[in-house]
Amino acid sequence: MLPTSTFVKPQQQLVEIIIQADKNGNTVTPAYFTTAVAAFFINRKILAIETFYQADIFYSPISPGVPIVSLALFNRLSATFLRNDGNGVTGGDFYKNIPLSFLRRVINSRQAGSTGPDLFRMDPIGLSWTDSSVLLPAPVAISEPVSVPFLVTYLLEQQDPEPYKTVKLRGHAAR
Amino acid sequence: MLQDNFLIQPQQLLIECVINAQSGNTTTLNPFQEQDFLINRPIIGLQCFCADDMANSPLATYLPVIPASLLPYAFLNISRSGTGPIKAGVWYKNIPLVSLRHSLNFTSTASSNLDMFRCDPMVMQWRDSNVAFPSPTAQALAQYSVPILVTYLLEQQDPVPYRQAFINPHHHR
Repeated sequence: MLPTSTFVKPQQQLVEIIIQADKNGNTVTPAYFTTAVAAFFINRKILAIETFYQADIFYSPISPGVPIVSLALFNRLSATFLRNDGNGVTGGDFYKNIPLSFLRRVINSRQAGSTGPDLFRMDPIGLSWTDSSVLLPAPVAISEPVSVPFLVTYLLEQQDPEPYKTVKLRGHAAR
Repeated sequence: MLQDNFLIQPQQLLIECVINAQSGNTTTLNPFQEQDFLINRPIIGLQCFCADDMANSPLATYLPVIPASLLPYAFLNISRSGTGPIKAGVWYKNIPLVSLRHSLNFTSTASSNLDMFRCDPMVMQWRDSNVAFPSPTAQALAQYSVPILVTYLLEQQDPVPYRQAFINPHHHR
């Protein structure tokens, strides 16, 4: 098995989901990626996704001044990614309700947030971004919108996905 | 099988991006200077540091290194040259600087990535790359250094062994 740490990242882009507050000041979820995110990744296969919370980065670089999600929300959030057809699998929400902390790959010993044991990687596959979301099990009071950032490692349209497939990472399957 | 711990770092060079204060606040975009030494030399890995890792830059005027308190505001945009069918452009956009910090210090407030940032061997366009602070914050000193440790190949070195396709040996069978 190829260790995560030998992963050669071809391209990376930070995207975000903004969680808005309703008229009572409570979070509105599920919250979704925008069409601009979907447009950027058209025909581009996704290899890995990472996330962060406020101990790691303070403000969104995409929406300056919008704070990054706090630990209190981060610990409650889960993410669902809808994938397109490919690799013999029909599209659908096959990455469902993944704890956000599992997608965090940085550590900070001074803070309480959890870190995933491995980088969250997927077989090179297109995602249906506007159908992908983050969810809180119950609304939480927030004073302003917050950003949930996702650092996406991806392939360009013309790049060969083969070296990144799991079947290629395992010796016997490729023989 | 090639393990990360066995990554043979062919050459390494520490460079820096100087971040300047404007009216006591961070500047939104801080471009790198041209890196003559790295012209035509493919980059395969990048790491950054904060003041908890090294207090002062060893370069030029020995600027103080960016403090841990500023690191969460900082993002890296990397522009690379085109090669083959891939066009030149900013293909690493808004990378949190903490994502490139691979050093651990349990007393530091700055986060660290458990993985080293490795990229496909590619020539960077340094003048089009920058350290960004999209949301301004107070910057105590007029200048700080953001040190970047660059792992690179010489012009004549074969980049293939550093590509993902090569790291997985079965891909070649």
